[in-house]
Amino acid sequence: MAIDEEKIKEEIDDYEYTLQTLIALSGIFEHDFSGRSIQGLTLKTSSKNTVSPSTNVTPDLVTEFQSSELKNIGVTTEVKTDLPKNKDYWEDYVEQLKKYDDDLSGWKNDIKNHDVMFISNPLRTSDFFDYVESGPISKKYQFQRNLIITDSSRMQQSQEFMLIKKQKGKFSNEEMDKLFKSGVGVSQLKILPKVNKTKFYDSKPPIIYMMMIIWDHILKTNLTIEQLRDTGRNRIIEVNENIQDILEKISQYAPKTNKNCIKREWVVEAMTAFVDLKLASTVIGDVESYNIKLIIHGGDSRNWFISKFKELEEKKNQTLEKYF
Amino acid sequence: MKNRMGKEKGYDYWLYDQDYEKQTDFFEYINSYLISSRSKMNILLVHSNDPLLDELNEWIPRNFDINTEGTDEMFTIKISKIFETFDKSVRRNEEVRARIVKYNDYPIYLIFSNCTKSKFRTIITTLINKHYPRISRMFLTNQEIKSICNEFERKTRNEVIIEFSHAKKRLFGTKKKKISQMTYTNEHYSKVFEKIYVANQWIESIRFEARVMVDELKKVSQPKYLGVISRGCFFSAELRFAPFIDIAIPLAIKYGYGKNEYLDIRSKKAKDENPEPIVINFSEDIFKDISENQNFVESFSDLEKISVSSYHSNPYIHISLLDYLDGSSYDLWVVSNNRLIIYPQISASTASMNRILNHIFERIKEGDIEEYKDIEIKNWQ
Repeated sequence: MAIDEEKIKEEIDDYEYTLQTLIALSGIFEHDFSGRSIQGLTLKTSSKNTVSPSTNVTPDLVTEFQSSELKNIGVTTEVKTDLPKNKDYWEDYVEQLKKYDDDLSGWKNDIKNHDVMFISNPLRTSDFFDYVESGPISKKYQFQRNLIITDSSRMQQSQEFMLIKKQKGKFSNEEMDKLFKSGVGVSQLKILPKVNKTKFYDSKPPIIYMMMIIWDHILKTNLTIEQLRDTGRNRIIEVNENIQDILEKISQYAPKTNKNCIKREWVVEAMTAFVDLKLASTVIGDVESYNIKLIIHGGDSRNWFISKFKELEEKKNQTLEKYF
Repeated sequence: MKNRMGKEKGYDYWLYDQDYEKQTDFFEYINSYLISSRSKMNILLVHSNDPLLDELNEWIPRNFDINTEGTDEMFTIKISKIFETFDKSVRRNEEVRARIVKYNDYPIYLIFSNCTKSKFRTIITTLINKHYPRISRMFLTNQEIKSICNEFERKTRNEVIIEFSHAKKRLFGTKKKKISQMTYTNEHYSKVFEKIYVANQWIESIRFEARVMVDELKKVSQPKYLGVISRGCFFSAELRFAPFIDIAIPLAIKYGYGKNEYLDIRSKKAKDENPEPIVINFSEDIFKDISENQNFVESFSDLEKISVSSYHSNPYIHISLLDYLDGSSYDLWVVSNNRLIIYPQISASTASMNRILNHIFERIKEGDIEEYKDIEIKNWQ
C-alpha cells in the first residue's frame, strides 16, 4: 500500500490524543478521588484467566485508590482512540479487556476489586458496547467485573477541553459513576505541563512521530557552539549520535511512572529510517553509532519526512511496509 | 570641555581614545559633540550575560578582525571587515571604530559609533549578530516605542513629530508574509501609532523630531533634538544626546531587557524536570477562528534557519520549532483563544527565545508575556 499522508497525520494525532487522555484521566482520579495512576505497571493474570492464564498484562493505565471510601479498589484502563470502524477487528480488543477481568496480582497496594475501563472516541463507543453485549461475544466473554465504556473527545470553548464521559457500564463507586456519567471536562491548559514532558506511553509511536522528536529535540543536544559557528552559511550540520545516548536522552519524555517505556527498537527503527532516507549513515566499525546530516530545511519536518519516504518508495518501487 | 575638542585632536580622539574616569563624562562629551559637530551618534543596545569584551575577543568570525582597548566597563573596538563578492573575486576592506559601555549593573552594553548607519549595520551589527546566541539582541514593541515618544514629550515638554516610519504589514494566508512600507508623515506620534495599529503593521523604525510649540497657532521651533528609534534597540541621536541617555535608553533597557530577563529564567530552567513556559497573552481572541490555524503555523516558515514540525493544527495547535543557529528547540501550544504557550525543550538560549518572541509579536500580534501560574484556568462549564 502506498504511503497515505493523511493516515500518517491521523496516527500522530491519535498517539498524542491517547497520551493526553491518559494524563487527563490520571488527573481526574488523583484530583477527585486521591487515586494514584501508573502507566506501564505489569500485572499478572491468575491461573483461572479464561483468555490468558498466568501471564503478564500491561494495561495503559493502572489506578489504585486508598481513600476510606474507595479503599482497596482499582481501575485498569485501556485507551484506543483510533478504534477501527471495521468490527471484524473488535474482538481482539474485547479479548484484551477480558484479560483484565480477573484476580490480577502485582498491584502496588492491597487491591481486592477493580473495574475495567475502556476509552475510545465517541463515534465508536456506543457500537462497541453493543458489540460486547451482542449474543456470540457476550457468551464467549462474560465479564465478571464492571466494564465501563467511556468517550474521550475534544471540546472547544474559549479554552480547549477534553471531555471524558461514561457511555455505558457502571463504576463500583457511586460518586465516581456519577461524575463520569455527567462527564468530566479537563482543560488542556491545566494538563499542559504534564503533556509537555510526556511524549510517549507504553505503545509504539508512529515512525515519523519518533523521528520528529529525535530530529527536533535530541540530535541538537550534541551540537557545540563551535560546531555551529563553523557551520557558517552551510545548510548541513554533521552530528554523531549512538543508540544508547539517544535512548537515554529521549527517555526524559517517558511518563514519570514508566521511565523505561521507550523501547530501544523504536530508536533503532527511527535511526534505520534516517539511514534509508539518506539523512544518516552508520559509523564503520560501530553499528550503534550514526553520522546524521542535520539539514537546515525551512519547512515542516513532518511533511518533509513524509515526502522523503514517498521519494524512497518511488525509487525502490515497492511499499515501505516495515515502517507503515 | 571646549579645550578637549581642540582641532589638533579631533572628535574621534574624544570619542574613541580619551580615557574617561566616569561613564557620565563620556555621555556628556557625546552631548557636546552632537551640539557642536551637527553629526549623528549611533547607539545599539545588546545583552550579554558574560563580559562582552571577553566574548568579542574569544572568537572572531571569518572576514572580521578586531582590536580592543580598555576594560569591560568601557572599551574601544576597531573592527575591520572584508567584504567579498559571492565568487570571492573582489574583496574590499572596511573599518569602523566604536566605544562600548556597560550600562550600570545590567548585563547590557551600549555600542556607540559615529560611523554611517550603513557601516554600523553591515559591520558592527553583523559582528554582534555573529555572536548569537552568546550575545542577545533586544527588541521593542510598537507600544514600547510609543511609550518612549510619550516620555520624550512628558519630560522634555517638546512635541514629538514623526518624520517618517518604516513599518511592515502582517499578511496572512498569502505566499508573501509581509509587506514593507516607508511612510513620510510629519504627524504627531500618537496619530502615527494609531494608523499603524489600524493597518495591522509592526514598526521597524521611526525618525522623529522633538520641537517646542511656539504659539497657539501651533507654530513650532527648530528641532531641539531628533533621531531614529528602531525595533532592534538601535538609536541614532542628533543635536542632543541627553534625552536619549536620560529617557529613551533607560526605557528601552527596561522594556527590552525586561523581556530578556523573563526569557533568561526560562533558558536556565529548560533542562529542569519542570521547565517554565513562555506564555503570551493577547488582548483579543486571535485564535478563535480555527480556519486561520494553518496560516499561523506557516507564519513561522520565514523565520531564518528554523524548522517547524506539526503535530496538530486543528482545532488546537501543537508544533515544535528547532533553531538551527544554536540548537534551541521548543514545543508551542495554542489551547485557548487568546494565549500561546511555548515550552523550551532540553535547551534553549535567551537569544533564540528572543528571536521567536519578536517574530510572534511581528507576524501574529503583539501580546503580553505572563507567568503560567497566573493564568486563570477555567473549570469545565
